[in-house]
Amino acid sequence: MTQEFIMIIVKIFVITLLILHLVFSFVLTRQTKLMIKVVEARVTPTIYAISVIHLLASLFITIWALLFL
Amino acid sequence: MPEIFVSPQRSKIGSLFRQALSSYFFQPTGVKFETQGDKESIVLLLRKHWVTNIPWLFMAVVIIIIPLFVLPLLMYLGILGTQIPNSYANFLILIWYLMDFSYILVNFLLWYFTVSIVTDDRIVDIDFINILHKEFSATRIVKIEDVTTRRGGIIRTFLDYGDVHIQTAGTNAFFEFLAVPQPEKVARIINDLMANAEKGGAIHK
Repeated sequence: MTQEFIMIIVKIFVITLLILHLVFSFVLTRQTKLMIKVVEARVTPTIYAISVIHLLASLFITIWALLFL
Repeated sequence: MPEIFVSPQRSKIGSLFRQALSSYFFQPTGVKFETQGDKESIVLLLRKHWVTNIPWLFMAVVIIIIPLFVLPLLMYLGILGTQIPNSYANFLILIWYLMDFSYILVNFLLWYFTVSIVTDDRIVDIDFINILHKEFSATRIVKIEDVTTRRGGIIRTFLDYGDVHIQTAGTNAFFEFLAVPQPEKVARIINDLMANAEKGGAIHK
């Protein structure tokens, strides 16, 4: 019973953390889009792509946690 | 055009790599910044020297390594698989590396987009204090009154980087290019541009 209770608390904590991280990732991607307008170079699309990958990774892990944790 | 403003020949791949990670970029091609005039050309693009990234890079490597030591320890102590289910352990590892990815990305973005730019008409300082806070300041070359450089310490002397302080007659009295490579060369280029501007060359309205 105690073990189950601890796991529920851990699950709530992990999902809250992931949702907060997902919000942060959205903000980061949005800011990267603004940053690459401040200084445009040939590599800036690659940097934006990396921030999108970061957002997708955050989204994927959050969905996975909601479904399977 | 004076010899100092003539860019040497470079290979395309080498140029792209330098542009991606260089902290001293002379006459960069394919680079634009906001508020850049149509005829305004970038003479210098400066970032903090790469060595200033070592503290966060070191921290990122430590964060990557920690699970490699902690997980075997937890398995050895019998905590993993019994008290902590394997499914939770997998998630915790994924979350750990996701946070590390975020840490690296944020620090890289702050380093990459915090730039000091010298054009043939202005000096521009773009500072990202954090992801949400940007400071943009610029002044005309003709308004520059004094350029001084400061370099102290073994590492700075050995790796040839330091600070360039620019005093102006504009609203922003001081511009600081902190921890930029080859500060003396930067100061010399700005002085040459000042001399050029006094002669009436390369000023765009």
